[in-house]
Amino acid sequence: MIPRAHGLKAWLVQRVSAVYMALYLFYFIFSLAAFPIRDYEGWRGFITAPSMSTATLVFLLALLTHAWVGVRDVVLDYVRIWPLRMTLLSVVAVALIACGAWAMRVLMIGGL
Amino acid sequence: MQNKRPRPVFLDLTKIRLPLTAVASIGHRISGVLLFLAIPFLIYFLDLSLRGPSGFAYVIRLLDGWPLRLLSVLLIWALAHHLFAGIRHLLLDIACGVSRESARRSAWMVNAGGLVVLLVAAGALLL
Repeated sequence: MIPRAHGLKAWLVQRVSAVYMALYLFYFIFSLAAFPIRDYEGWRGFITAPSMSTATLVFLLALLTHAWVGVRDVVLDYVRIWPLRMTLLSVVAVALIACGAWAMRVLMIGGL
Repeated sequence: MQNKRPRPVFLDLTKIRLPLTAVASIGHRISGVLLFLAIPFLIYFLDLSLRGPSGFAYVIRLLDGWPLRLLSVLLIWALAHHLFAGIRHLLLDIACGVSRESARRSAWMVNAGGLVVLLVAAGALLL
């Protein structure tokens, strides 16, 4: 489902997802700086730990939602030809949903 | 209400001077679009890196190559500028720094902060 991103709701979604992503990135960068990853086992252990893979999946879903609201605003501002606008928005929406499905597959199946 | 007189249109890009706040704003957009375009590659690399030792090694090798080093520097700038501009936006939302002087000052900090991160990333990844 494409979140109906307009008005106050889009404004709020954009900010909540932004704050979550900032906190996640802060944690991600600092834990990698504190405990550098040396090999595949280390990386896999870091990402697929239950709490981290959940947090990462939430991060990717927040990223996709945030990207939808942002790109939607950009398209609405610059693409004034209606059929082109609708086509672009549809392509972006499908691509983002596909990325979400892919991310879920990677983190839920690939991580096992 | 329809305006009968044609509105003045001034689009001479060589003469238009963007204020710092506008630079921070268009930079927020451009960096956002760049980060959006990076999403499938991010997920692809995550996928590859978790497939096994050889996939992980392949991702490391790709990231170590010059094309991706250059691209990484660009994306690190995009992330930094977008993050700083976003924090500025959140502060403006709670009416923090809305006066003209402080808005200009914070826009300057966003632009400069992005460039500092760009230089640090370029130094670390390209030298």
